[in-house]
Amino acid sequence: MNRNELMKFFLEEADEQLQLLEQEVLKLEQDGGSEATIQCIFRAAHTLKGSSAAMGFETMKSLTHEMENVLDQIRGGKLAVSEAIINVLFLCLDRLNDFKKQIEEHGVCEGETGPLVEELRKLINGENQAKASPAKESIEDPFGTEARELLGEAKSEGFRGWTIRLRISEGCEMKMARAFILRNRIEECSKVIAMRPGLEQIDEDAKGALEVTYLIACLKEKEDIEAYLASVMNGEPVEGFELLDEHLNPPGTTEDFERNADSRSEESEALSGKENESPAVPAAPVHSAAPSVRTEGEEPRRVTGQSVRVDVDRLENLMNLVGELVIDQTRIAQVGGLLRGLVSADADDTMDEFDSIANHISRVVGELQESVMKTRMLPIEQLFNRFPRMIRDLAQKIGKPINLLLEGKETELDRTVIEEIGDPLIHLLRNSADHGIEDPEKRLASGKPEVGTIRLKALHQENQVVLTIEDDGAGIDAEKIKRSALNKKLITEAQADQMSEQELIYLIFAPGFSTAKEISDISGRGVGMDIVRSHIEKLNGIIDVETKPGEGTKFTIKLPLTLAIMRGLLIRIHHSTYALPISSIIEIMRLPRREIHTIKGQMAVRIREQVLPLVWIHDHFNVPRPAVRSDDNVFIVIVGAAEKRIALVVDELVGNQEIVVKSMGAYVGKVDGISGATILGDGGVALILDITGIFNLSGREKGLPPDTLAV
Amino acid sequence: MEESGQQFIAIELGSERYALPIAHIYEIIKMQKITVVPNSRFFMEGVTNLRGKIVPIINLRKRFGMEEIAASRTTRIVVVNHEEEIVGMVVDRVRQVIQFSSIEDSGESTSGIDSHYFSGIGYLDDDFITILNIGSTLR
Repeated sequence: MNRNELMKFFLEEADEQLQLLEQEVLKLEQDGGSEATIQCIFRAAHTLKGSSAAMGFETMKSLTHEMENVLDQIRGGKLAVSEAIINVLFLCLDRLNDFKKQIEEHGVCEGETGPLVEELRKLINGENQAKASPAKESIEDPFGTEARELLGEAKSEGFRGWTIRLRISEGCEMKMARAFILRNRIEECSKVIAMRPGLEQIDEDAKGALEVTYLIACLKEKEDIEAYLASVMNGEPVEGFELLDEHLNPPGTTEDFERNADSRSEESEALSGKENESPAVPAAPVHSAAPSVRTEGEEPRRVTGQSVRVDVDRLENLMNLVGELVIDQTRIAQVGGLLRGLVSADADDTMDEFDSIANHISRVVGELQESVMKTRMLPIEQLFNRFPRMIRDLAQKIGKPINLLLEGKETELDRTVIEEIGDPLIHLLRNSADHGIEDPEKRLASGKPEVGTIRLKALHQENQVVLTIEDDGAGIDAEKIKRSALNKKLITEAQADQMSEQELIYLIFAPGFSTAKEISDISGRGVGMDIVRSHIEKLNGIIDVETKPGEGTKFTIKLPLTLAIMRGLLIRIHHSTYALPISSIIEIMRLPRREIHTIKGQMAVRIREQVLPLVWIHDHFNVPRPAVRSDDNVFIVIVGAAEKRIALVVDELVGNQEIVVKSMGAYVGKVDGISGATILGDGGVALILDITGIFNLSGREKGLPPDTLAV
Repeated sequence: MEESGQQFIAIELGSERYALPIAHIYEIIKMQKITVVPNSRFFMEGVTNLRGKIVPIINLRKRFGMEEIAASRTTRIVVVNHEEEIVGMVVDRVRQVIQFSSIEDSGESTSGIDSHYFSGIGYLDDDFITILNIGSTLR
């Protein structure tokens, strides 16, 4: 087994162990640590220590070793679980995750663990013995002594040492060559003493952008070098560069720079809702000197874990190819049938063989189709699992105890939807925590439990995914929204007077709206809800707000399953096959025609003491109603939307199958009663009936608002 | 009159011939199963599956108010790509690729169809064919 394979195993394992650690540490915090939890954490840390040592990642090993010491103390009962311990453990996990990412990207991990180790040791020794144990693991010098000596010589001649760190974008074809060309370009204005990674160490096949650091000696001033670099980088496939001093520290007032960098990254985190929140814990400045300065907002391509990230376009393409196969496969069967009639009896054996091959192909293609369809779906759990930690850190930061309840983790969603919905959910959760949940004192004063509750729920409803975020906080004050909107000149006085309470509340989605008096880094930048709205619009979803002053707020997001697969019931109306989402079907039955009654001009059937409006979709689709059968029965499918129910008459029931929802495109446009189309096993197209649309159709015809059809 | 190196596909609807710029043609397929879309435009035949993509199909005969006929062996669907929309057009027959010696921008009506569906007339030797304006034909 070569190192690459080993590395893959190591990263996969590290990924799993780190996830496990995070889960278990959260558990430790919640239940104070059962024997099993502590054992589990200890084992995971131990495994990680062992594997990182085996791979020679010294910094990672030493940090896990120190964690292990603390965990051992907890396990032995010598140390009680406290908030401080949990916080430090989380910081360690963040650091380890950081290391893992570095290893993924560059194959090496560097960085200071000193302050963290110190924190860990403090925990063991107790606060009083908190004498600074000098950080043994100081920053490793990536350039080595030889380069330093060369730099020393240059410096004695009046040169100054600098380092340039840049990232060659992922899309660049020959990173090694590019790194070398850049080196030569830099050489034009300075002496390049060394570069890391060296040319021979650059892995062309590595995923992600390549970070290269050059150690240079130069006579010029910082501004001049920067200006020169900017001109060099212009047009190169470089995602960004920075000029640092010779020890890889930002030049000038180091502190200022760091503060800026920190707030900047935090902001972008908040905006883009990336994970890895850095909890504000008065620990050592763990951020500083971390060599993992990445272009913000760019997650490295992860290659580890038990899953592989696949571009959705590729899956789409795969799906289309399978679609072609399905059509061809049915053709083969048809053509085979024709051939049999044409060839003489001598060829029977050959034809038999042909048939058995055709059968096999159709079986394989069927399975292939199913597998590809399944690949596109993911349980929302993946996304949900990010939230407990986020809320925990947030709750601590803002000093409000919050309990996050997750429901419907197993709900399957199309992967594109999962990717898109992450940011809006993070924003809404943050908003609920920051604006919704009141301070503990206030909660107690108004007779609520001290701990605030946020409930995040996912479920399938009809052909939609419904996500709800509900808090038991203060609710939204329409008056306050109105004042704020007036202050910000989002609406005029005249407009405000005309607006209903609900309309006022929906102003929170207006661009530039924020009620927070001071801008906190959690929410309140006035962009959050706007982002939420635009993301949901992009997914063709809708969002609703229900709020009760003093009781809480509930956001309901409904997303169509544009790309999702669902189970559909295939029915026939006239000569066309239609699909109905199984999730909206209440019941299927056969009923004699004479049991269809007309009540106030509305056809209806009585089913088990319940009167349901009945609809002949035939009338709406301008096709004849089915001929009366000898037994006078009709097939009826009872469908529902929210609390409403309706009975549809269909000609025939065909069966049920997994259907992939496809849009019919802008050219066809919106057709009443149709939500999309799907491709059937034989390659034909079936239209998908839109239940809500049918409710509207039938209501409109009778001149009644759709709501009056509710039973 | 101007010279043109542009290539066209000649199609037939009954006795009438039209030309479509080849650059807009995505594919030409045989007649296949089309699913009717209720309550859609009058000249809309329905939708079909083109390798996993749902493609709307219009009927040119219906579009031009001509008598409808049943599909035959020669019936084809000319799939065009117009402003990022893929749309199929049912025609009686697809003839050949032609290159006109000259093209005259839109002209008087030479057939029973409103001139607003034309983008011009292509001349080749003694012959001339009306060039369809795909945009206005689809609209």
